[in-house]
Amino acid sequence: MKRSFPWDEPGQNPDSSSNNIPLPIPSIDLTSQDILIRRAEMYQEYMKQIPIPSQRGSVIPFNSWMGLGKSIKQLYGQPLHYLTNVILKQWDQLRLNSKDEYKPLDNLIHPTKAEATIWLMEEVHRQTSSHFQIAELWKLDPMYNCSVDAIFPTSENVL
Amino acid sequence: MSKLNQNDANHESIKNEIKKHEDNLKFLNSQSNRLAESILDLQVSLGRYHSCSVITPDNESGSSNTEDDTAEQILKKENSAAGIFCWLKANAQTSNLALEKDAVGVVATLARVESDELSRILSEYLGLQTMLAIVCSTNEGVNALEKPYVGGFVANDPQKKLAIPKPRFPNEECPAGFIDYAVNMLYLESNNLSFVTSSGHGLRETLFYGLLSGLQVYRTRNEMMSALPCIDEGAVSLDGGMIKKNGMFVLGSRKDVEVKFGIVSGRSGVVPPNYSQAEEVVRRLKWESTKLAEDIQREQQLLDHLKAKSADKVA
Repeated sequence: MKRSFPWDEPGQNPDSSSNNIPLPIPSIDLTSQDILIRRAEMYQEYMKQIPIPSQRGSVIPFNSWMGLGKSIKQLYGQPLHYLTNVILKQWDQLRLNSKDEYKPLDNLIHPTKAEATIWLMEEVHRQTSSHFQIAELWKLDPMYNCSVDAIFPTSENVL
Repeated sequence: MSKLNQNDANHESIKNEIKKHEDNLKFLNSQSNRLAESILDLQVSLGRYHSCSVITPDNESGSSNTEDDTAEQILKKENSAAGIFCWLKANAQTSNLALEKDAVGVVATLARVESDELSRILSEYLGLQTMLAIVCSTNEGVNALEKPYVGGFVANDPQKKLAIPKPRFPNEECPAGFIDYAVNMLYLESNNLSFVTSSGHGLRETLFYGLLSGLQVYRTRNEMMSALPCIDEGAVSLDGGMIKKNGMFVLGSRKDVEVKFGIVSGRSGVVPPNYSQAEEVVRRLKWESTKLAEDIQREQQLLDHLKAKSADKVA
């Protein structure tokens, strides 16, 4: 099933479309189920092999869940799983327009507890997720790559 | 005997794994090539349109003058990085330097506003140092935000404004004189609206939200002061009033601002409706391309790791 592009959508205004320039339909469909499943399988296999750090010392101050995620990635030189990144974003979204929206988040949740929670989630996602389920989620989220971390230079020795 | 068989079995299993990863890499590389072809096809079509279209300087809006003003203001700051950057960009011999690939531009040149008053007050609010900052597209640059924007966007808005609820008093009324949030009053060029950062975002929700957050814009100082209970992240008024994010009030007369945002007047383009859509698709496909390259890196790492393991076993 090919993804439709804006210039071939049926609802276009006939007057304006006569001024449109002819454009080729891209031949690649990155949202095809087969491609997503294959990429998800590769992704999950990679993430499964990264060990969860056993040594954790510092207390990381944070003002948002995504901010804490970013600090963790930098401190330990590891990517976090797509599913973890999505949850961190959701937790930040849940704060919008709450009474304590502008209170520093680490006043509400202790940094040590917050970090431990993220690592527990991360272990669950790395060790127990099915790539078929991940591919299903990616199908519903065309911008899923926003939440897929790039490889870290320091993670060359991570595996 | 059984130990030898076990070793053989392990070796066979590693060989199969290696083959699997090599096949995966072949698959990813072929996807990458097809993507590159699609991007090229689109760029060729857009390029063909350019070569036979007629966009004369007269058709453009009168905004080019004030863009030049901003560039001139920056060039006057000779010893600043921004000044050097703009000078390099403006000269044919130096405009292709490698730094351009990573540098998005100087903050003052990345947005325009509708009025001189707004330009002055926002430029003053941000301060000269910020206005002259060079924005880079790496993670550490544009994505370095304390509190990233996680809300939604206004539907069907070509400028992709942020869907931030209006400020309201406890009785649900919107404060008199409230115009909009500053972050939504910036006009951005289409190539800065999406797929600028590695996470696929545009400059409004990353750079400008990071600099301005929920800064509110009011018509007058008095109206801004009356709206104090609704102001969480600072406010400015078009007649020069300013409440900084930390609560500091600046209510006196305006200082001379050395570097300001350019002004946009009514835009008149003769670009076909699907042209900017196609440009966005090209940007998106290029972004997908960098993501595919990351998949290739991951797979290569797994393969290298296995080959090293296999070499250890043989040794």
